[in-house]
Amino acid sequence: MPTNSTEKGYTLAEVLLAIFFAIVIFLTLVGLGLTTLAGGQKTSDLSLAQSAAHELLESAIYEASDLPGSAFWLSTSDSNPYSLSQVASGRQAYTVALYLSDATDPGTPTLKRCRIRLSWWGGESDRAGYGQLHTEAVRYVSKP
Amino acid sequence: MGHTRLRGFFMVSMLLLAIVTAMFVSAAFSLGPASMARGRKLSQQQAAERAMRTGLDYAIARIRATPGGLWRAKDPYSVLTDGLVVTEGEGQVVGWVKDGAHWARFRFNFNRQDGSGGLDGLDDAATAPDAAVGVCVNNLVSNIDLPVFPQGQGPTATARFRLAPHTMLLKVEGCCGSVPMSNGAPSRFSGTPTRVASESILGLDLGRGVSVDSVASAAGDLSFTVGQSGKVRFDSQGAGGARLRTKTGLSVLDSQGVGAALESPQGEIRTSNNGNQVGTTQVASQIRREQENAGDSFYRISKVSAPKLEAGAISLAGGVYEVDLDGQQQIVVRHFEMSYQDYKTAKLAGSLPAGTVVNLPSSIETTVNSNGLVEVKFTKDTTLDSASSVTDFAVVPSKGAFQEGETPVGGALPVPVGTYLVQLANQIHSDFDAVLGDNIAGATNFSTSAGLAALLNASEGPSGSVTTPGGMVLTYQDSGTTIVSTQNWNSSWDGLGSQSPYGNGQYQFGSLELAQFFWTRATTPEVAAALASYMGPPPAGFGEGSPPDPEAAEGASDSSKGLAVKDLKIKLSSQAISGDVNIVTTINEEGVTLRFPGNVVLAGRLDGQGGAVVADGNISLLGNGVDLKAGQTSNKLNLYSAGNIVIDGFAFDDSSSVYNNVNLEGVAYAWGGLTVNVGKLGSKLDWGNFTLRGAMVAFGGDPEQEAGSTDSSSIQIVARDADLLFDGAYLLNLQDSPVKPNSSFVVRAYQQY
Repeated sequence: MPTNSTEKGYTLAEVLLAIFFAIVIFLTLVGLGLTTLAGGQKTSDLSLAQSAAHELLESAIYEASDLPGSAFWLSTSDSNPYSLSQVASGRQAYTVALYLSDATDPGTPTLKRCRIRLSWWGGESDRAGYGQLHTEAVRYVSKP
Repeated sequence: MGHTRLRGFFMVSMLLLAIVTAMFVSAAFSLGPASMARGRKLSQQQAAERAMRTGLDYAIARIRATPGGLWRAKDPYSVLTDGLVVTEGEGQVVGWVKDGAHWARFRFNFNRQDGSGGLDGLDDAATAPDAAVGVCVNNLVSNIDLPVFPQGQGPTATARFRLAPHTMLLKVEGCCGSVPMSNGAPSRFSGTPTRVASESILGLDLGRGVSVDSVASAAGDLSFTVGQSGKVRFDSQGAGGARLRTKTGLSVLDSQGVGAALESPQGEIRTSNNGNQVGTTQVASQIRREQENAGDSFYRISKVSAPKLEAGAISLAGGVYEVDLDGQQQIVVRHFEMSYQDYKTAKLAGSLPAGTVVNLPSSIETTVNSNGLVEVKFTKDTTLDSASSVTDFAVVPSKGAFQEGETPVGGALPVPVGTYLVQLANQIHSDFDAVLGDNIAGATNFSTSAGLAALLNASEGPSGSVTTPGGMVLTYQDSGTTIVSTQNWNSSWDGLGSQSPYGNGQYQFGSLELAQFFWTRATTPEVAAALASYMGPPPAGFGEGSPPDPEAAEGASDSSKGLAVKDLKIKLSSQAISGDVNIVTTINEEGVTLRFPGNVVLAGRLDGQGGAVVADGNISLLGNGVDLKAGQTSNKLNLYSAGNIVIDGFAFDDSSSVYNNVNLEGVAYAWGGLTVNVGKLGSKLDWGNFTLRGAMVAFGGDPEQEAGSTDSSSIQIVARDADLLFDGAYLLNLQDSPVKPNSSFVVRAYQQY
């Protein structure tokens, strides 16, 4: 039944424009949200990795400190890891590589360089949106 | 109208949604960086902590690499390796560590900026160290504790605490932050870095060759014989060291063989069997008892660490230098180119050749004071002339320097059988004394020695009674091991003198009577065998005829002639003396060292501040006591012998012989044994006292050998009383450093802030 209303509806162009703006705003918000999430994930992964690296390095040194003749103190390569292992922290799994080498200074013949490297997701150096996917910690320790 | 309301509602809803969404997004943007900042801060803090610990380990590595271990970053040194850049000098250390994405820094400092030398042993640094870093103290090689003062305060302040010997205080700062790079390495932080710091006390691991401080250390027995009511006291100057150590057993007995008192206010004894190998010693209850293990190290002082000869040292021909006064009271020195043992044997036998009168070098000053005391003063270091045919070096008075019991020919007992008879009487008396003291009269049912029991058994059978011509009656049983009773043991006899410790010769009446009784039985083979076992083979003629009634032993008869040990003083001092004996014109604080490749014998009163005697053979200090003080700034060692050390306070002077006190300040160190006789069992003379401030060691082998003590060299001291005071200052920088390239450290205390 026809009506006498003089009010007009939205034109198709208006509707399409509104939908377009809505989509743009929605996608922007989603993008921002994803970027924020990724940043948080990266921060979380890196922080956990750095803390884990610190603790694992100190733990490895501590455990070897009472074993003067152990292989720990005999290892001399900064390229071939003394040990390789996996460790989980939070929701992330990390690959842990420990490198042990001599400081090679005559004034510090007993000083050993201990470097630990934690990597995740393949350990890329510059993954888009995430950047560096590894971290390192270094400590020098005097052989017992 | 309805559509309009609907649009308005829609618009408000959308606005609310937009606001909420914007809030979430802005919150995410706000929290993200904060989270990242927290992560970065934590990461920097961990890197700073690792840098601080790297600094600790760097210090340990440098100490291990520094011979002696006294590393304080005094001299310029730098380390430049991949990822580690360290510069040190003037007591300060700054290190940069490439730690993943960070550069972190550690710093520490030994310089107190207290002027040249000072407590830290360092000159002031051109650039004053950052006060926030604090001051480290390396006390690893020292045997004394050091005060540690509050930050920025000096010796007038109250010490925070005292740093124990063989420990190190390390205050290390670690920082991490943004750094501007310059020439591949950072030099400073831009902005304020994250900082952590620690204060730790590291101690040398005692299990790796570090000696536990001790005033007396013996590879074998540590035995004291004191007078009646005598005692041994030991203590320590400062913390630690009030300790006696022996690999075997410790004993303190009185002259009767009864356990005597061992006292110390804060002491500890270390023996086998957890400190309980002490026999009948009366160990004070507060003295701790610990186990001394075979592998525990004593102080290691190698020959190269013993005082060395300074430039300008003089050399003398080896042999014996006999000092005498002629009729005009002029000093005459005769040289005998022979070993001291040969000299002594010839002297005792009365067959000593005339010797050669020599003029000593001018650096050996000889003077006579108004009391007739002759002083031989070494003002320069002295050693052996390489052309010398003998390696011994001895300075003795013309009367000789004999230990009690040695009697030069010409004594009052020319007949050996008489000597043997008196010795037998003395031994019998000593055996009775060992059980009863001087309370022999009236004693019943007491035990005696196996040797005396065998004699009784051989003479009169397993039980019986002995009646001597003088009326002494002794009844025994159990094969002579039990004396049932004695009668008239203390009868008057005027043959022996009245000198202490016996106080009255009558106490020896019974023993002489018994000895004379055995004389009458000595011709039977059983008694002769028992005598041989008890005293050694009797001389020819013993047992023939009636037993003599000898007089008391006298010394050499020629008491009016010659210089005695009491008249001779041997001084080690570089203080020059002008023409007038008592005026000191110049004072040189350097001590004088006598160092010889053979035995060294010095008879007379030996004294001298900073003096030291070093011998590859034995050292014998005989006669007139010792008052030798090690120097505070030079020689810290008194006596160092690669053989044995004998200090005998018996001042031979015929019938005026006495025992003098022996006072020693410093270190007496022997590879072999160490004997101090300021008395003798059975002696009728008053015993002297022995005091030591410092330490004494009978190492039991070559201290340079890693195995440590290899024999059971003992310390034996006979004195009325013995007072031992450990003073680690005399060991400072003297013993071979306990810090080795493989030294291990233990954390005694640690705080991080």
